[in-house]
Formats: sequence, C-alpha cells, structure tokens
Amino acid sequence: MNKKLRVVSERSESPRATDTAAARPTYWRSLAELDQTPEFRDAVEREFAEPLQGLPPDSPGRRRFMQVMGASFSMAGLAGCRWHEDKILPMTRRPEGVIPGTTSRYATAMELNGIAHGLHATSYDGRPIKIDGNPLHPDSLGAASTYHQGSVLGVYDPDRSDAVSQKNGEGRDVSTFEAFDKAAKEQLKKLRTTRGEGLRVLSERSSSPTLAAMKDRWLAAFPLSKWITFEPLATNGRAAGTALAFGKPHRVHYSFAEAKVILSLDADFVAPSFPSGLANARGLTHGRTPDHEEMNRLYVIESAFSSTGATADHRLALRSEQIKAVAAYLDAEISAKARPLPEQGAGQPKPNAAFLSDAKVQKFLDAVAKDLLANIGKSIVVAGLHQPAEVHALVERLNVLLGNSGRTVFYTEDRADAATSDFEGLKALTDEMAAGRVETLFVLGGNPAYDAPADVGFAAALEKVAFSVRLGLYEDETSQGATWHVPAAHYLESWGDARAYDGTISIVQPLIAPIFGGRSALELLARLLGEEPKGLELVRAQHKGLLGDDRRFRKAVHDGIIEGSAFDRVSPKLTSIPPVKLSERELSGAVSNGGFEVRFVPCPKIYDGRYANNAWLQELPESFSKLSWDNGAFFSVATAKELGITDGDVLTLTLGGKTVDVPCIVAPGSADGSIKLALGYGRTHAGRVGGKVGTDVTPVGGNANLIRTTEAPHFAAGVRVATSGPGKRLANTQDLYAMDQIGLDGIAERLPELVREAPYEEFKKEPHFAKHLVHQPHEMNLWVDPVSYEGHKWGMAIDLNKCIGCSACVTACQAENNIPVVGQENVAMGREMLWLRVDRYYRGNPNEPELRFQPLPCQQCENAPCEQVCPVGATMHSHEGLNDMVYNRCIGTRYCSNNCPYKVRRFNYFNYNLDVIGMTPYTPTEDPKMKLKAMVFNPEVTVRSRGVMEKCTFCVQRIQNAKIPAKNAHRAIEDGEIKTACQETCPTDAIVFGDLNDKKSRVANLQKLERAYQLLGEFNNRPRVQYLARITNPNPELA
Amino acid sequence: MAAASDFNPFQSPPKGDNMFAQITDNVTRIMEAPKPPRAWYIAMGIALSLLTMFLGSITWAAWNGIGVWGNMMPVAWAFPIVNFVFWIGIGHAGTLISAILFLLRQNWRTAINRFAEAMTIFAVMCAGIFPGVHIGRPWLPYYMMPIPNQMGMWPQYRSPLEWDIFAVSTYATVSILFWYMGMIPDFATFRDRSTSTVKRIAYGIVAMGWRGSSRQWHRYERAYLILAALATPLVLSVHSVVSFDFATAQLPGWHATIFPPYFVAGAIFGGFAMVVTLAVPARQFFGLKRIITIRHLELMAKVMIATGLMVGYAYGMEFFISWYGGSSYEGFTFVNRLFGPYAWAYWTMIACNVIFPQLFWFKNVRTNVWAILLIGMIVNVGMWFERFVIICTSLTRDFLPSSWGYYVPTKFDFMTLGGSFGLFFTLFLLFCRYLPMVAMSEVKAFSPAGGHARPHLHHGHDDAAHAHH
Amino acid sequence: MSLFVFPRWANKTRQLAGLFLSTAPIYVIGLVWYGASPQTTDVGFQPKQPVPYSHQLHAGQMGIDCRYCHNTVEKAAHAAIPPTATCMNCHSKVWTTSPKLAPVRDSFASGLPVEWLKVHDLPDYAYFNHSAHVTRGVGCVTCHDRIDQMDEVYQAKPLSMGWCLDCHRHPEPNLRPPSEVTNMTWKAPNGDPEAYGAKLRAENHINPPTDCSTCHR
Repeated sequence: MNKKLRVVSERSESPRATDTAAARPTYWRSLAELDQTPEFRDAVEREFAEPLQGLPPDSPGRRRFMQVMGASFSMAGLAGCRWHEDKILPMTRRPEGVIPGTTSRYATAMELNGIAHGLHATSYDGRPIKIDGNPLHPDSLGAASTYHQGSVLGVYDPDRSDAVSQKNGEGRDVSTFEAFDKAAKEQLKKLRTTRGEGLRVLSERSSSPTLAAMKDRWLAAFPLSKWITFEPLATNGRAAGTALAFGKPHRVHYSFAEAKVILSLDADFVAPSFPSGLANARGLTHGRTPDHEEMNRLYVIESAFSSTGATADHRLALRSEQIKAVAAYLDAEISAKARPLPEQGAGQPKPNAAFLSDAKVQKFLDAVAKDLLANIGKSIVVAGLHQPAEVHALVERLNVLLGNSGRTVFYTEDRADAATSDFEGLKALTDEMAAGRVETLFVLGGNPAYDAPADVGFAAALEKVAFSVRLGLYEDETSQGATWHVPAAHYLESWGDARAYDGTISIVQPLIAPIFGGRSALELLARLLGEEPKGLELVRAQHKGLLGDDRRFRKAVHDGIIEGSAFDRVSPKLTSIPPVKLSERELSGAVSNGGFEVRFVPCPKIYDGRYANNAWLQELPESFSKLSWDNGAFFSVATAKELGITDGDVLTLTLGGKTVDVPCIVAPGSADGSIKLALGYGRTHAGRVGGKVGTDVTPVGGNANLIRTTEAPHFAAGVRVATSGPGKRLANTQDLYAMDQIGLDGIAERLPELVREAPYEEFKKEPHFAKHLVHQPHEMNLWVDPVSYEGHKWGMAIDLNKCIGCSACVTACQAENNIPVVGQENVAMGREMLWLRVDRYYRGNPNEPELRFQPLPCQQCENAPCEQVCPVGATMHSHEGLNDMVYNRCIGTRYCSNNCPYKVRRFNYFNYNLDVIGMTPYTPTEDPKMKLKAMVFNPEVTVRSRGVMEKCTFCVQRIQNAKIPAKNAHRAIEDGEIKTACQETCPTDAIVFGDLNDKKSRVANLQKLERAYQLLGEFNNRPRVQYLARITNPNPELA
Repeated sequence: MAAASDFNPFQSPPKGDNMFAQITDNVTRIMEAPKPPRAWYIAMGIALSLLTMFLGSITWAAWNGIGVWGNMMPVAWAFPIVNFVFWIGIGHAGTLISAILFLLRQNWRTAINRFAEAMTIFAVMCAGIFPGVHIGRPWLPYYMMPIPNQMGMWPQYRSPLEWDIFAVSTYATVSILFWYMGMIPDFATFRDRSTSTVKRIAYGIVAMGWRGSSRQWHRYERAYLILAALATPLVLSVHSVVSFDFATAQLPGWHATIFPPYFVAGAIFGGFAMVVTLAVPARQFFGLKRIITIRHLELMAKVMIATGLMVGYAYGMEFFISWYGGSSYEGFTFVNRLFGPYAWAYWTMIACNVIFPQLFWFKNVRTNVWAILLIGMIVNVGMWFERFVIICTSLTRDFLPSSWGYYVPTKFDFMTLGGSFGLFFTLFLLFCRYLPMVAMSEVKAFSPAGGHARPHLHHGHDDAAHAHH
Repeated sequence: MSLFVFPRWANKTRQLAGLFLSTAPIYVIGLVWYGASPQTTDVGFQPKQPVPYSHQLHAGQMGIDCRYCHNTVEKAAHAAIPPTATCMNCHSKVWTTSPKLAPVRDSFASGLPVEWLKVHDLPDYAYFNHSAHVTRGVGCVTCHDRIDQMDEVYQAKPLSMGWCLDCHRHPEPNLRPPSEVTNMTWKAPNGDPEAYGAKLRAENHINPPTDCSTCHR
C-alpha cells in the first residue's frame, strides 16, 4: 500500500465536483467513471458475476441488473472462459502522479458530538475504501474506532437521500436544488426586512471554526434570529462542574501514561464516545505493561460493565445515582488528610448513605482513598460525563488536592456556554415552534424528530413551522416533517474543519465529490448568505490568519492538523464547593421494581442512531452481550433472578408513563437495580438496514428516547419492568443459547488455560507461569514439515493486558477484507462471517464477576489441522507460514472448519455479497442503487461468492503489496512496514504483527517474553499467534 | 460342503411333486403376474412422492446455497453427512451376506442374499448422493477426482475425504458386479418363462446368453468365488475408511482409534436391521414365506444381537478411553453427550441400539416375525441417531467455549432425510417387481431335491422345459 | 423360437462395447484437460478494437518503447492503458483528420474514455503484478508474444495457471537482463537461454514463489 500522503489538488477534484443537480445525477457519472477502471471491475466481478459496468445515464437499470443476476446465479468455474468481453476505459487525462490500481492516503477528520478525530482515508482510484487513524492527531495517535471504521460504508449507502424533496400534504415530492434555492432566497429576503424575526437555526454540535464564523455572520445578518445546538448525547456536567469548582467551565485532559493510581467514577474514559477516549486508552494500557515497568492500578466504580471496568484491577458495581454520595465520601476522606488551603474550602461532610455503611463498599472506598493519598501527583480521578455537576466539581477538587493538576490532569478553558444544557435549549425552541412563534427553521444535520427526549415533542412542533429546511444525509424522521429536505454531503465528500478535544484544528478533506450532489452545512449557509459556496475557499479563508500562504495550508491539509492550534493549558484556582445535596434515592441502598434506575448510553456501534443504517456496525457484536442487530436492557444477575426474567424475554420498561419494549439481557457485573439501555435503536426512517416503516424492514431494536426526559436525559430513576412478550431469539455471536450447568462447569474448568493470568506480584516471582500452566508434551509430527521458513516468517502477538474489547479491530478487518454482512437471521443461526472475533469471558462469582477479552484471529498454525483434511488442497501452507485460503479452489466441504480447534473459519452459506446486485437469494431487489455498495470493496481482496470457506489471512494483500515494491527496489522490508488492519486501528496497540525471523522485530521480542503463550499449544498445532498473559495489579488490602 | 447342506430351507415339504418348479414358481410369479399386489402400488406411490420431495429439496439447496439447511458454525457437518454415513452403513449387510457368508459356507444365506445385495446397492446410491450435494459448490465435486487439468492441481491425498472417494466407488462397483453376477442364471430362467417378446429380449440381453451348460456353470462358480473373495475385504474397508473422516480429526468425540471396528460392527448391525425390515414385508406380500423362512429371520436376529453387543461395547469403550486418556476436553465431550443439550439424542441411541435388541435373547421374540420387524426398525432409528450423536453433538461444543453453538435442523434437512428413503424404496420396489428377488438357482442347490452340491445343470434344463408346459 | 440367445453378429458388439468403455473415459478426461483449457478457449482471441491501433506500426516500425504508453508497468500491478492524452501527444499533430482516429479525438474532446476491449484477461481471483515480473527481467514478449508484429493485438499464450506455474517452477528460459525486457528480439548472447538464465537467476536472486497466496488473495 502506498503510504504516501497526498493533498487533493483542485485539479483532481474538479472533474467530479458538481454542485448543481443536472438532469443526469452526479452519482451515475462518478460511479461510471470509477468502475470503468479494470481494478474496480476486479472488485465487483469476482468469481462468477458479470462486470458491473456503471449504468450509463441513458441505460435502464433493470436490464443490466437482470444480466448480473443471471450471471451470478449461473454456476461453473468457467470464469476464465470468454463469456463476455471486458472493457478497459482509461482516463482521458491522467493527473500527475496518479497510478491506476494503487492506493494513496489522505488526511482528513471526522467530527462526532463536536469533537474531531483525525483520520487517514485510503483512496483507490478516486474512491475512499478504508479509514484509519492519523498518528499526528492528539486524539487518535493512529487509532480509529468502530464509528470511524464504519463511516466509509456510509458514503456508499444506497439509502442516502439523493434529491431535494418538498413536503406536499402527507407525502413528499422530489424537487431540485434550483427550486429550493429560489424558495429559500425569497424566504430570506423577507427575513432580512424583519431582521430575522421568527428565524431559528438548529445545528449539531460542531467545533468548526469556519462554521462558528459563518454563524456570527449569519446572526449579524439576522440579529433577531437564534442559533440552537442540540446533540442527543451532549453532556454539560463536566463544564458545569468545573464552573462550580473553578468559577469557569473547563475541559479536562489526562495523561494516563503518567498515572499510577486511577479511579473512575462511572466513567468509561477509554470509550470512543468519551472525549479523547482512544488516546486515554493508549495511555492507560501503556501504564499496564508489566514486563519493563511498574503497573498502574485501576479502580472502577460503575453501574454496568464498560471497557474501562473490564480492564480494572478492582471494580465496584453501584448505580449511577449513587456516585454522587461516593464522590462526597471520598472528598470527605481525602480533604481530611490532604489539608486543603482555606480558599479551597473544607471537605464535604460524610454522607450517611445506607449503602456506604456496607462493609464491602466501605473497605473498597477506604482502600481507594488510601491508595490515592499514597500517590500524590501520580493519580487520576475521572467522572462519567453523564454525572451531574456536583460530582465533576468534587472530582476536579480531588485532582487538585491530590496534586494531579498540571501533572497527570490538565485543564483548558471551555466555551462560556458549554455549561448550558442542549436539552433545555431544544425544549425552549420546540415550545416556541409549538406556539407558532417560529416561521422559518433550518435544521442542519442531527435528527431531533427521532432522538429528542420524549417530553420535547419535536416532530409535532415541526408541523407548525411554515418554512422548515432539513439538511441531512438521509430523508429520515426529521425530514418527514420538514417542508424542504436537502441532501447533505458526507464528511468524506466535503471540505471543512474541526477541533480535537484539546483544540487542535484539523482540516476536513474530501476524498470524493458528493455522490448524490449533497451540500455541507457550510456550503448551504454560504449560499443562503450570498457568499461563494466553495467549501475549500471558505476553509482556506478562515485559516488565512493561522497559515498565511498556500504552502502552509497545503501542509496542514497534508498533515491533517494545524500545529500549535491547541487551546492553552491553564491551572485554574480551586474554590470552595458548597455541600452537595443528596436526595433520598441517592442515599438509599437497594431499589425494587418500579424504582429501578435506567442508564441511557451511547451505542458502541451506532452511537445515537446516526449509523443505524450501517450494516457493518449493526452486525458488529456488542462488546459485553455479544449481541448484534439489536439492543437490550442490561440487568444484573440478581435483579434478573428477582424479576424472574432471562435473556431474550421481551420487556416493557415504563418511566413517567412512557414505555419502550426491549429484550432482556442478563449482564453479570451490572449494579443491582440499574438498567443499561443503549440509544440509537428503533429508527423508523433509517433505511433498508436500520428499519423503515411501510416496508418489510422493521426497525432494529427499541427506541430508548421514548422514555427519556429533558430533566434526566442520561440516567433516570423510577423504571418499572414488566414482561410483555414471549422470549425472542437474540442474534448473539457468543453463548447463542442459554448455557446449561455442564457447559458452565466446562467453561470454568478450561478458562484459566485459555485466558492465562496472574497478579503482578506472583508474575514477578514466577514470570514463566503462563508457559508452564499446561503441560506441553514432546511434539511429534505425523507429517514432515512442508517448509523450513527461510525468508519471512509471519507471526502475531496479542497482549491480553491491553485489549479493552472495543472491537475496532473487528470492523477494520471487515472493511479491509470485504467481509460480507449476513443479516440478523443468519447471525442468529450462528453464521456470522467476521474473520476476527473478540471472545468475552466472565470469571468468578456472577454477582461480582471479572471480565476477560480475547481477540481471536486465525492462528495460522504451522501444523495446521485444517490443511491436512481439505480434499482439494484449497487451504495450503505458504513458505512464510501462512495458511493460504484459496477461494477459487474451495468446493466447500467445510471439513477444515470441523477440524479447526479455534473455529475461526467462516463459510458462505449463501451468496452474502449478492446484495451488491440484490438483497438475498430470496428477496432480490431490482434497485440498481444497491450496486453503489460495490464501491467500498477493497480490490486487493477477492470478493467471495457462496459455497466457499474463508478466514483471516494476516492481511496477505498488505504483505504482498509491501513485498513486491520492496523487492523491486532491492530493499528489505523493515519492521512495522506491514501492519494488519486490526493492528493498525487498535487504540491500545494490543496487536503486533511482523516477521519472526527478524530478531529485532517487535513481534519476535514480544513472543520471547515470559508471559507469551500459545492457545491450545498442547495439541501441537504450533500456532503463529501468541498471547501475552494478562497481569492484574490488585491492591493487597482488598485481596 | 456336505456339512453345509444339512438343513432344509423348507420347514415343511412343499406340496406337489416338483420342488424346483415350486421354487421357480414362487419367485417368477412376482415378475409374471400381470399386476403386482395392491400393496405394491401403495408403497410405490409413497416412495415416489418421497423421491420427488428429495429431488425438490436438493435442487432448492443447490440453487440457493446450502444455507437452506441448518448447518452453521461450529456444526458445519450435519444432516447430510449423518445421512451419508447412515446409508453407507446400511449398504454393508448385502455384500457381507453374499460374500463373507458364502465363503463361510453359511448356506442359509441363499434365501436372502439377493435382495440384501440389491439393498446394498440402493443404499450406496443414496449414500453416494450426499457428499455431492452437501458441498458448498455442488457443481465442482470433480475437483476431488485426479483428473489432469490446466491448473496443474491435484487432489490432496492426506484428506480422508479423498480416501472416501476411492473406498466408496470401489465398493459400489464390486457390489454391482457381484449382484449382477448372481442374477445371471435367474435372468435366464425369467427369459425362458417370458411370454412377451420384449421381456424375452430384454431378459435375454441381461442373461448374456446363459444356457446353464456345465462349462458355464463351472466358470460361473469360479468367478463367483473370486468376486466373493474380492468383496470380502471391501466390506471391512469401506466403513473403516469412512470412520477415518472422524477418527483422524482433532475434534474431541471424533479423535478415537476405536472407530474403524466400531463403525464396521455398527454398519453390519444396521445393515441386518434393514434386511429384516425389508424381508418381512417382502415375504408377506410376495408369498415367499416358504423361501425366506422364520429360520432365516431368526438367524439374522442372532447376527443383530451379536453386532449390537459389539456396538454397545464400543459405546462403553469410548467413555473408558476418554477417562483413561486424561484429556479434559475429551472428558467434557462425553459428559456433554450424556447430560448436555443433546442428551435426548444420546439416550435414544442407547435405547434403540443396546436395550431393545436384548429382546432377541428370547426365542419367542426371535421367531415372531412382527417383533423382528419392529426391532429392526428401532435399530435403524438408533443407528441414524448414533451418527447424529457422533457428528453433531461433538461439533457443538469443542475446544473454545466462545465458539460453542447449538444445531437446529430446518425443514429442508428433514425433507432431504425423508426423501432419501424415497429414492431407496423406489429402487427397491422396482427390483421386487422386475428382478429375481431370490437366488433361485442357489436356493435349489441347497434344497433336499437339489442333492448336495452344485453344479445343477439339469435343473437349468428343467426350468427351461418347465416353461413350455 | 422361444429361447432367446444372441445372434452371431452379437459377438462383434462385444469388442465394440469393450472398445467404447475403455476409450470413453479417456476421451472425456482429454476433453476437460485440453478442450476446456485456456489453451483452447482463449489463445487467438482477437477482438475488434474501437480504434484499429497497430502495435506493428507503432512499436514495430517506429520502434516506440512499450513504456512510452504503458508507463506504469514498472511501478504497479497494472500496465495501464494510456490515457487519450498520450495518443494526442502525437496525433494532435499527425493524422489529425484521419477518420480512424475519430474516436480518439472525440474522447479527448468529450472527456469520455475510449472503450478498449481487454485482450489479456486473467480471472479476477488471480492477482498478477507486472512490476514484479518486469523488474526481474521477464520480457514483455514472454507472455504477450511478438506484439510488435501484431497489427491487431491477440492473445498468443494460454495464460493458464499451469502455464504460469511452469515458469515459476523453472524460470531460467524466460529470464533476461532487466534492461532488455521491452526488447522483442532479444536472444541470450551465449545462445543458451537455459545457462544464461541460470546465471541471471543467481545474480538477481530470483526465486519465484509457488505459494497459493502468491497469486490468490
């Protein structure tokens, strides 16, 4: 892969840049242009399908579609025969330095909830096919999350809106950009005279300086208008809390690598939805490598298992509402010892909460306090963003008192309005709308009609607005009520800019012209203000000051960041914090049905629902329940027993008279009486994946927003649970069925051998424990070794101490290797295709379990059982020690899978890629737009047809594409030059791939570590993957 | 051979003077009757509808992808392979009876060997279909054949599946030859008694100009003996090789050295069960009571109890080894068989294969036609479940708990299973109607009137003469 | 007569049947082996191109180097078909009115590509890399034959898997100094390509892999 970073020059952009929707939609043109190249056809016509010539604008989609269907059904390995003549359609003018059939990388950035994440997008012949992190970006450090990995599929989503539409009674008419521009101009002409009376703009949270400037110009032009921002997952606790503690809202930044003791109060600070989550994960796990330095110790108090909790050395499950009392208690404890300065105020009075007097909790908190005090300046206390202001105030107070401020915890000033609640703002706006005081409304992105809390009633109020414009990627719930819907441009389609959490500015660079001619918010507003609607020019102008000349601008675009644009770090003065008020519930211990707490969390897959139509993310197994294609209410084992419910029971959750139906998930490790419920499901106008009412695609999951309220948008008390329906078969990828006692005993017996671990102290005493845990008999081979492994010898090391189970690697693998999506029914049958899976095991007492993750790619055994049983030699051993899988030789006996001890092989029971040209063998769609999905395929990897086995190849295409140029240049491949897709995206650097024959390579040295061990090595498969045993660092006082 | 002929296949001497004529009549009547009995039509109707279902279901699978079956990960092999092993097992009794019992001079076999052989061939046909249709790309099975090609690719001979190809095809070939061989003299009889020209010519061609001359009989005897000698090792080899598919794998529950003998015993067990299942109705409907006698059925029952005990021993031994071997994974697999999610399948198997056959210890059960038929059927069910338990239960829970699963068949699985019986019975019913169901010449040889030994050229002439009365 | 036995002529059919049974399988195998191989199905494939571009004229007579048009061949997997602009480099000056060149001029004007037909077309699951071969000294002529003598390009070699493997297992006869790859008439100086190839193989450390993943991913 060509790692060289390029800047999109105006030239290479212009041929496809089209703002006006001509009679012929841009989409066909760009698709046509792109898929003419032989490489692209390679991608789509793999195996037997006919090449997908992009539909020329004049040709009817149907005929072409039928041809393709016919060809893909037609059997026979006669792909080589001259059935059809392939065409080669070269560019008429090939831009400088463009080599057809090679990839190049461009820096860009993706914004989520007002925070930018720097990315590298891989472009293949002008179309983005893969996303990775930008190593230069402070929040990424080269890592990317599932959201980013999945986002590239969103570009080619055939369900994206492809035309302007206008409301007409109940229905909607397709319209044109011209018509909209005309209507909008007239509307604004009126408004200019009234100075923007009754004009409102509702936008997503954005950190874009260009948009901010645009906003100012807009408000200047319409002084009476208002600009509201709303984000369903917006939190203001931290800003309000820091304002309480420091007098001003602040952002908080951490250096986990420096910390020795870390306390998380209901904070999943390694999650991609947490500010700088991926960077935090890198720092946290960096401090947990026992081989060369002391390990840090992580305490987590949380309401349900999170990646952070899974990594913890000590974990305490408490309801989110109980955290406030815990914070007060700790402040009381620590202030007493840390002796705060007078102006810092006295500590909190010890709350006399029932649950705090519980021996276990008491012991835990005292140990924590002691440990924190023993590590002045080397600790970190973090609070969950959903926690109220008081908790954040107390937490930052603790950080200051413990001397962490400026050492491990850093502060930057936040916007003055950061402390205000988005929900209040939206409520106010909606009331105005309902009262008819809003006659013009622009909704830029977001989807309030779906994700506003139930008590807001945005959709209804929207009907009352005379002239409403919705700019959106999809014609979704909100667009339904808007008088105008305007297609938006994807972030990979438009110029823009955005700031990282620490303020570093990134330029958002487009990889492809808007496929559906969509517009970015910038371009839309510029047009309405009568400015030049060129994203590039707007961004360039905005940063003239920072980077004067074009050269520096191009460098910024190339690097993906503007150096030195981060906010200045400050060391705020801690002021005294008044005693926090604790309600009855917050002090109480156990709660019962009707009084349960519900916690609304961002979905680790589809976030707030914006990715609901992303098949990769929908099918991704959730980290803890391993549930795909659904959401559920997570209950602790005890609570589930008390309610007499189990996995799959359909429940009705009632809160404040509102209800939602979701299946039950028994999630060990949840706090009793606390229910975790993911947002983003139950979309009614998402599309063919996420659900669309009026079609046979029913909404996926239950919509948690239905029981959300403006007062308590993040966690709320007083939930009643009732069983409403018969048990439902969940599409889990692990523990697909309720496990019987024999199964549980079996797991308990073998788990210590599979996931080997020891406390740090024991590890230091006996470093080889992992190797000697299982007796390795003298190895004898039935066959002589086929190869001697001169030259390269590829291997992998996976550090179980670092894996946080975020599953970014799984999606990265899916994107890199064209892994098909099989759909809910097939997952429920146990036919998911993911090459890399992350196994999840619970340990110990189900009421306070520990949780272990184990990523499991193909182990590339040297003595591979799969190879010996294939009757046709479709899986053979390469001279570099890979188990080559040859799809075009495979006849699908599936014997290899039976004989694979790791069961990492996947089989195409149907032609799961048929959806490129039709949904499934049963319900082929004749919609030619489905072909758009073919554009995301990686042409370097064969797209599998039905009836063949497949599995992880160690990204052999990346190996080949690094080896060949190296050989051509007569140079050796250096370590780290080849990264597997999973390794590249891993936030914690848990996966390392390389050449075992290169003694200096990282992987060779990791496999030499004492704690490295082979999974099921005693069976003499000689796996090439080795795991690094997990080392915990428990506090002796809590042992 | 003197010792061999010391018993009389006829419990009571038949009425009429010419016993050979009686035998000939008994057998040829079926073919000569203008209409077969109503039962035949009913049976044929059922068989044909099942056959249609069979073809329908495998076409559906071939068109849509084998995902229409319940197969999943980790249970990548399920019903189709279970059926394959089941039918291959059935296909053992025939050759065993014909070849081994022939070499052992077990002359009572003569009454049943013919349709036992037929049954063998039809069972092997059913079995042969499954490996072909169960693969993911059913249009490419020829990749498994050593055919020179432009890819320069050859099959992978380390794979037991590859061994299967050769084992099963060899077995099928030899069985067919053996079966046809035996029928030649009887075809001649049919030919001679045929009234219509078409039949005469048709049977004449398949009779290959048999005249029953002494020279022909002499050669025939030799060839028959040689084929029997060839077929004997095959009986043992085929199912041993089939068992290697599992024994050579690493999967707990498959990885066992006891498999070859265990499978062969099971095959003979199931094979005989199927013979009685067919013999009893056949002798009822086609009036062969006096050729296939209670005595024969009783002997078969004895074989069944013997092989049944062998199978039972194997079940026990598997457990002993899993404990003795000391591998926790092996141990778990067998505990899981007894008490895990598929315990019901395991206990069904034990009941059918080990418990019910014990009734054969009682003479009055052994000699009760319907009891034998019932137990035969039960054993057939049990043998199918044996394969299900070995294949599916072992696969559901192997090494890593994270990949454990639970297999649920779909309706297409059942259609394919039931349908394969359709194919089997269709072929068998056609055989009953149009081919000599009993080896007349051999039966005659050991009937008292037949004296003590072959060759029996005179009888050949008698038959011929008889035709002109 | 009632007793049907074979007439005398039937004896002949015995031999015939025997002959048929023994030859039929061999014939079928031969059919699969040779009849269905690219040697038969693909060799000689010569589609009608939209523009009667003559390699014989350009590469042969005028001696334009292959890499003038196929300029990515040493850098990339694909020896890219040249953009229309490349044709126009010359044809904006010479033959500017030739009707045969009309499609080229149209393409240049309209920006829509000339629709060439692919002649050397491997199955899509086979990943061939031009640069890997050209930089090691496998000449164009080895796989494409005497392009410089083709008025219209046709496929001369089978390009079948077996054919590829022959060379990967025994590359010597097809090796030449990398500087000579585009030379259509190059001969081993010592007249013994085998020995010369062996020398080159040793010098350039050429050991072509035969792993599946060499070509299939």
